[in-house]
Amino acid sequence: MRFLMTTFMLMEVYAIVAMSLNLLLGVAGRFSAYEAALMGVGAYTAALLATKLGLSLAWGCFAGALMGALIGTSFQVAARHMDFFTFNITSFAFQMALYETLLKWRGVTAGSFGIFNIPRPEIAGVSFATLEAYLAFTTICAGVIIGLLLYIERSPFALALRGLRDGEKALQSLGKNTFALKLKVFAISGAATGFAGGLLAGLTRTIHPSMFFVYLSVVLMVFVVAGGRGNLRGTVVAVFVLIMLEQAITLIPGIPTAQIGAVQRLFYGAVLLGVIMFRPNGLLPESPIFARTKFPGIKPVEGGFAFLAQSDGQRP
Amino acid sequence: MTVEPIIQVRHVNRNYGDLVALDDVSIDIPAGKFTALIGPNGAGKSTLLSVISGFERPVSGQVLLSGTDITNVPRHRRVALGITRSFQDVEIFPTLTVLENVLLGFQRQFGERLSRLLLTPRDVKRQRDEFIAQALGVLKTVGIIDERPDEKAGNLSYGQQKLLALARMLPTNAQVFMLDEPGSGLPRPMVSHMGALLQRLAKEHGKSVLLVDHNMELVLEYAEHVIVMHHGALLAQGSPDYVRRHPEVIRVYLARVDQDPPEGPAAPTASAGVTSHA
Repeated sequence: MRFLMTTFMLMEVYAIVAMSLNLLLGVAGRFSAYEAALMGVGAYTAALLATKLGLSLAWGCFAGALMGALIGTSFQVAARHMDFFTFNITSFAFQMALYETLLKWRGVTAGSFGIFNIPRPEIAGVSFATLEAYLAFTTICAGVIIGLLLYIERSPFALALRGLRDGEKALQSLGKNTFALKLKVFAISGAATGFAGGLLAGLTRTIHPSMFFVYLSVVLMVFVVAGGRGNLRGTVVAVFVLIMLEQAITLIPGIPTAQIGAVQRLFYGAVLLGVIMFRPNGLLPESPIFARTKFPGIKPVEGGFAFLAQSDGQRP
Repeated sequence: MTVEPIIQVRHVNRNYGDLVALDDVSIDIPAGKFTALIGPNGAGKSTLLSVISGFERPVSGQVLLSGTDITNVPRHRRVALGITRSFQDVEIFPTLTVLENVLLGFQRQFGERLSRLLLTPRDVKRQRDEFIAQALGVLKTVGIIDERPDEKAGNLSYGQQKLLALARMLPTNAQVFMLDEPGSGLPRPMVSHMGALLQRLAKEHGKSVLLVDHNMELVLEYAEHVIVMHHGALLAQGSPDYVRRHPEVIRVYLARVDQDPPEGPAAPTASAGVTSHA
């Protein structure tokens, strides 16, 4: 039972992170290979505030979100003039730089020892210390965040992000501030990722840098590609199915315990290959967010370009 | 010229290394008219369009919109001030649908602001429905592409994509619509369809249309005012009839357009290959 609860919480945490990665990668067409490290930043921020300052982990999660947003947007500002390929490689480098920071900034992060005994939160006298209670806490948080991300995914804001993916120049010619759009999407994605990191810290109660190695970034990308780039619902499905299968591998008799990790890595590699070869658009491919068929009640405005003339006098 | 200019280009210079694209150009674009900008390849027409729309910065000189200097205004802000443009290589959003392409043209969308998205979801939804109705109206008036609003724009034919590029600009409700070669590569019936639409924008809605094109049918039959550029400078301007008979224009441009497609880069001569040991 504990195993199931822990697995479910892991799914929730990874669902948030993979969805925010999909918002970048699939919707906005921005690559990011530092999602794992950003999650680590969130986890360390929350854990350090909780263990050193005695702050509730719930506040720690929000602080983690703030740090995630800050670091995500700073990276985008620093990398704003890079072309597509340079940007991608640099984002890998950024993952390694953040990872090494967690590993080597021993005075703050305790290096490879990690942080122990992270207290689970207590809100208004209600303690979420037990696994069952913490499950309720993460489920509420994940529900809200996933709901918000799904809402954003189908908004005019996300349509502009998709336009950014398809052609930045054209979007500018239609009056959109593409730099601001990028900052916003990096902030949203970074905040969600940082928050999820905080949730993870409370779940495992022990964090160390190797949890946020580049391998996790790759697994997150597998979730996104397998679920369908540009479709956040698909990502949720992919996270739940793939983590279930990943955990099921541990139950296969005959695999030596020491080799389970290797088999799991093999599994994700096989999934990535299989998806790219047989279903390149993923399990649930992206569909139009403003399809005409979804608005059968809306009739075209008559009178052609009449609305062009209407607001002529109102121009500032 | 009796008509007030909406855009004034003042002594604009622009070069790419040694290549001079715009050489001290001063041009007025009349307000509320369908103006065509023509000239041989490399005359600086597209560069001028980019300087006016903010996609290129002039080395020196000024661009004025209704008398206000906009030389240093970022390109996306110029749309709110009243200038929008299309591109030679179409630049539609290929993975978005026809309807979605048009929806992106609307300005001041509540749903693009995160605060409104979260705090006033009802306003967002109401405005979105209004925009969808208007976008469908735009598509209907533009014609041809309105039958399949949910088709991916990348699946449209080249001519339909050019129409979509125009349709997408309309909701910006700009004063100045600048189009870079909307007629090139289009079948004849579509050229006249495009010409009629642009003419209508100017005549019925008082918009200033600035067109760059090599298609003489579009230019001479539909435009009211023609500006001819050559070697990065103004050569002649006036009514289509005036320009058609202008001896210099015939010599450098019109005679060639009738005979063959616009010239490409000159073939290297034999002497160019000889190395000098001076």
